[in-house]
Amino acid sequence: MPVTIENLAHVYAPGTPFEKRAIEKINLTIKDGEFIGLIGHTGSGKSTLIQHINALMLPTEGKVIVNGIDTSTPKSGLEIRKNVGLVFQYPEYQLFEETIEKDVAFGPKNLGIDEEEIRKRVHHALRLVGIDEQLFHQSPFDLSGGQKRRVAIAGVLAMKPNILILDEPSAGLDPAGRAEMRRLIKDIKNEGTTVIMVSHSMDDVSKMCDRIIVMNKGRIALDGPPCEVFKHTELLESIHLGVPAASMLRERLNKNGFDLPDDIYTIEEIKTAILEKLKRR
Amino acid sequence: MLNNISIGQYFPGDSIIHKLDPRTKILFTLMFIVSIFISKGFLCFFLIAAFAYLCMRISKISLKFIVRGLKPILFIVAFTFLLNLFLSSGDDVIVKWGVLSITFTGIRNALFMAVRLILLVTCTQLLTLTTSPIQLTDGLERLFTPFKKIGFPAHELAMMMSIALRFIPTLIEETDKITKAQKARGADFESGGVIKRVKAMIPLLVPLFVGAFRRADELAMAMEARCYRGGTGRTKMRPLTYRKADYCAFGISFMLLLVVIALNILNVF
Repeated sequence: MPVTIENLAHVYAPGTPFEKRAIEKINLTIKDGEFIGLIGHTGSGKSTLIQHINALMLPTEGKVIVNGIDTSTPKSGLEIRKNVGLVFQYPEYQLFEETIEKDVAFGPKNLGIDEEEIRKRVHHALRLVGIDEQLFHQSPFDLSGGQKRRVAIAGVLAMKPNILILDEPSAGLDPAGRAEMRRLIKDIKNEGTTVIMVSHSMDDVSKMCDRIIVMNKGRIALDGPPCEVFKHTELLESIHLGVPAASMLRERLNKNGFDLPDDIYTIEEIKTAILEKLKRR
Repeated sequence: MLNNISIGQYFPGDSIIHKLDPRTKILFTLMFIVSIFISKGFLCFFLIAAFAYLCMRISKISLKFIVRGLKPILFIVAFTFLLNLFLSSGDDVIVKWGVLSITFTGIRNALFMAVRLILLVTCTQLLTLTTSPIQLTDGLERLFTPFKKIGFPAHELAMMMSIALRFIPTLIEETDKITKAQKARGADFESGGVIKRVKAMIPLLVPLFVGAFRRADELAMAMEARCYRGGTGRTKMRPLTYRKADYCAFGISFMLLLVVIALNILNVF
């Protein structure tokens, strides 16, 4: 289910004084099974970009092709949304049904799937996000914030998307909730789903993703595996993104006489590298 | 799509009219409305329209804004026009089909009603275009203050109005967000018959209401945390005061009303 984005640009309110070019000249290919971290400042165009991938927004210029279908083809919306699941920020506010089970079934129902298959999908999705079977027939509004969010994510998972896009999935969660969310996303990825995660947290992204796309002012600033992206500490800092704590440590040490390799970015790797250097002295 | 809705479409500016006390403008508009309602002929309408046009020019609001604001009432105007056109009784029949007939009186009545409606909306628009919602509620609160003695909740009403106005953009934004989230789950808001479309609104309306209640709760809590306890003893950062321009405006609007009354008495149409 590859995604190709060619020369994509989107302009809000064209031809009015409020005209705003949100994204520009985006060229991107997303391969199957990738786990992409999308980072950027507020207003850098992340949200605009992800909404294009699931045909909620259509390009002003350029093309977005999902699995061979151009998103601007009329009536292609549902077909694309079947393949690309999008979980918005604070998805818990989209719950509306009487029971958790019914709410999760909303997506698959819209796809016109038969009852038996819907039931199977709903149960699978809810189990995946760690919601107890006893809760299935309760109102989603009685759950805790973290649980609500997981139910909302299950609502998208039940559509069995090949690509899952998550916009800040752990925003506003406590540390335990964040850890759980990380585990959940890893599980989803291990089921073979391509995952695109929008995040502000460099540490999360560096730990989880195998490709990082950095956006700045509507354009792609950096794109590559974490070890490549985190080499550019200065660029990242100049666009106020910061780098993972470990990369920062490496940078400081190097400035003061160490020469650690610049493609390491986890605390473990750095620890090993420092110990090795010290031993050699 | 939802960004095109303009409610309380304030158009910022620094003309004399913008700077008038909101109370003046509310009373001014009231005079306008009274004048429109007591007018019996087109000459009065012409006078009022000319006056409204003058106000529009002074406040530097382009005609485009006014015309755009008239769009929502176009249907009502057309409806009253047709109703008056066909159903007025008179002897001067021009065309007749069964019960329906067009008379000269009918044409005159139809035009009269249409112009009256358009003028009414134009005048109230001049008020909302030149006065920010906050000022407007402030003005209303002060105007209603004397009625507090007979138990009229002036402050509470004004506070409710300003909160409601404040949350319109927030709710529009929220609607947009939820619409997108449900669309991402395959919801279809655009096709199907009336019943199907109404049903399709449920996934949108439930979260919207839940969110509105949550917001109301949070706001109440935040207001209480800042010791809000109604209007008693509360002072204003910018108390409203009448200035020279306000008295002039009063004079002018009163003159307009007098002229309209005089024209009516003299039966000059």
